[in-house]
Amino acid sequence: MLLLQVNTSGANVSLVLFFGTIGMLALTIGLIVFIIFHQRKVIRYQMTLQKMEQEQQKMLLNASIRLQEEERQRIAADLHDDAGPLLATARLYLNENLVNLDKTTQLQSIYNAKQIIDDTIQLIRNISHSLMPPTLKNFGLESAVNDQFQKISSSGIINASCRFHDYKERLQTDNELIVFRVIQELINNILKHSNASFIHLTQNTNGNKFYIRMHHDGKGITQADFERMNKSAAGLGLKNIQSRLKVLHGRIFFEKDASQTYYKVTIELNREDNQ
Amino acid sequence: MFLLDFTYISYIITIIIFFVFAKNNRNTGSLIVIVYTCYSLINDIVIEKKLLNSIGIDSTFLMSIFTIVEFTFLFYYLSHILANKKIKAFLFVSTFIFFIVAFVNIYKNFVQNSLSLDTIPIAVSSIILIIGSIAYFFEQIQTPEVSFIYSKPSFWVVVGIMIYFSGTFFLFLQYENLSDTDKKTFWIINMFCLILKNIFFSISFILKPENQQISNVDDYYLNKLE
Repeated sequence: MLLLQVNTSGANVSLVLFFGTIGMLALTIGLIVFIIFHQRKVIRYQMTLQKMEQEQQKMLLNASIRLQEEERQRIAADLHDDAGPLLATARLYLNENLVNLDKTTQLQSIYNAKQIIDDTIQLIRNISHSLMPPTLKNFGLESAVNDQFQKISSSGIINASCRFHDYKERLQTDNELIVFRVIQELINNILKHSNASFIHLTQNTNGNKFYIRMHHDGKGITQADFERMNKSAAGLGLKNIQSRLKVLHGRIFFEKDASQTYYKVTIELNREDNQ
Repeated sequence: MFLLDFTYISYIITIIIFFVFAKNNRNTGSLIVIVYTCYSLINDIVIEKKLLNSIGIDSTFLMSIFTIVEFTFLFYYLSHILANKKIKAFLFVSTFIFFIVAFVNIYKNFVQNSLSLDTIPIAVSSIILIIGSIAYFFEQIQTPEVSFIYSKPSFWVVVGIMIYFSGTFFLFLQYENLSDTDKKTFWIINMFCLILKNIFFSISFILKPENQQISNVDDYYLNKLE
């Protein structure tokens, strides 16, 4: 440019000045316009992402509310259909007329009423245990999962086994319950939909990460299926898993084994967040 | 002549807008810009009316001083709004080069008793300030913010700086090679760019400072709805 300054004649100087100024202004205005439109585009993209995330949150919330309602209905049905008739029958055995009956009948009625009350107690214990497994509360996730797998295995329908490799430090009680519910939901899905002949669960840690992996040889889903179902109205259980793991800042991955024989589900948690 | 009057009017309007929206302008950035605008206006009047010729101060010397002061103000403004330390460091190094060039130029003019315009320091200052402005835009693209870029006062100040210095870059570079007639003709570019710069500065004074703005797009649209 400095060379130009020295060598050009008067007319050329004017030309250079004119076109140079026009060019510089055009470049500057072009750059400013580009910046404005680029930023608008970025903001619009961010808004779309925000909207999608809000919709996802709404779906998860709805799924969680629906699940809660279903759980309440189940408990209400258990109490109404099972405990109610049992207690009503016990009340029949212990009616006012009992004092007028002979001693043998009285004893028989009391014995029958006792049997029914015992059944009711057992029923209420079962309901209570389904709400909060005592093994989980008292002995932790490892024992609760072992217990669950033994029950499944002893049914003879499916071979279920589990192994915890590094669970010396327990997760927080509330978080153990959430992980246990997620495992229950996954087992439930495998039993219902996969026709698997075995389920194997392993627990591992790697640095700050806590992993639970489940393998089965039935018909499973991949991450793409999981994400698709999460966005659709279907897959209430999967949405519930997602919303539970969100509480723990955890992640879940569904994949098919490299050998294409097994399906693998991995739950990943941060130990620091949950211990 | 009409354009020159219009340039002065644009300066005065910018200063009036600053005081009308004084509430928005209680920050370092706006203060730098208004002091620079006032100084430019006074300098232009003094040079045009040759007010200091009677005491032996030449307008070319005033222009050389103006280049240094102008650069100092605008460099300080840019380093105030830029966050990236590397870019800031680059600007500081460039500033050092500029000051060497500017003082050598003044010394040369003094020794040679020359009355030529300080084209080289102006060109160097223009390049540094244009690079600083592009760096500001680059930084704005990089930072994932949710507020619109044109809602920031700093954006309009930088646009003003960029338009002015890119528009007058070739004018000042070729100024000494122009004939006297051409100098008068092409000086229109300078006045036109000054008017544009003042308009952009005025817009920056009208806008609320960045820390008082809506920081979220949701809030922005919510406010729009209300």
